[in-house]
Amino acid sequence: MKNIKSVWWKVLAVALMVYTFIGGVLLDVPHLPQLQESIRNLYFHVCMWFSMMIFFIISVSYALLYLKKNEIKYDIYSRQFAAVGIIYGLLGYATGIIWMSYTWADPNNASFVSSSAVWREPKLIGTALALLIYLAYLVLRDSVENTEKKARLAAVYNLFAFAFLFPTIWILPRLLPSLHPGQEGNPALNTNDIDAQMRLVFYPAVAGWTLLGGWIVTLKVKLVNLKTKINEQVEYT
Amino acid sequence: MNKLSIPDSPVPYSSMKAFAFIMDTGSNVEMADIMRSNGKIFVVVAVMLTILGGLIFYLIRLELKIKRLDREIRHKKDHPKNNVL
Repeated sequence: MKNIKSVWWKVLAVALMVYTFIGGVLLDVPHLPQLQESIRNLYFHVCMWFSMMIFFIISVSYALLYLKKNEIKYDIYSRQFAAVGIIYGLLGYATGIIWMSYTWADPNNASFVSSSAVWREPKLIGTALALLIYLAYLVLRDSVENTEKKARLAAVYNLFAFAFLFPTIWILPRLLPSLHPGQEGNPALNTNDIDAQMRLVFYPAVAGWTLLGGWIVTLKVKLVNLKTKINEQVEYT
Repeated sequence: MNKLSIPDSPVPYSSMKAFAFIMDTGSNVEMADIMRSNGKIFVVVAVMLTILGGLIFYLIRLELKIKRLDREIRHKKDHPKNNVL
């Protein structure tokens, strides 16, 4: 029974991912100029950012829990969720670079001219800042030796990093002109913004990617626990 | 969807119209219709599913390996003198 309990959501994650990969390619999408078939990247590129935000929210929740209850397991969860969130963010960045080079780049200009416009994108700069702040979180946390000190410092810095997500990825990019869609609301959440047919794949895709990341987090947490157990045994002998 | 600000298509309207016969809907946007009609799109789906399957297989392997290691360490902790599992 315990086995079923721990396995069902992983099976669900796999099923949702398979659905995303099949439905994401084969189901009908709106025919739009410039975007054309690349609109299907919504199921992959946008889901990365969506899941990243969910992981960072979970990470900061665990940081708060640690500060409240002082139990080291919350600190471990907080760190691993942040790490997987960063990986998803980097993947979102990488997929965005591919997508924009086919939709934003001006075919009439030399590539470096259109790339200079792309590098000035407030959304790209904002997310780069947010990701760097989170990378600093990993550096800070992993450089402190004392476990208690490490956990407390990391939890407080996590709050700071999470607070900085708001200006860098939610507020600033909306105040500045941008080629990136989603200027006037929550991109992909707004029901006027996304076609009903696409929501049929998009929401399961977000759930699938998030559960897959959650699976990776549980593996990483287990590994960390094993490491501490081994260290304890070395101290015994 | 029309809220997305999409710059004008670099493809001239006249050349898009030339492909109008392969479009199933009334719109003038060129999609990957050829891949759909000759079934090559299923090759793409197969490749994507293979990669996904490989990743999931790898995750399951990792999960099992970690579980076994955990059991081994527990065993050693309970029987510190007998190091052979």
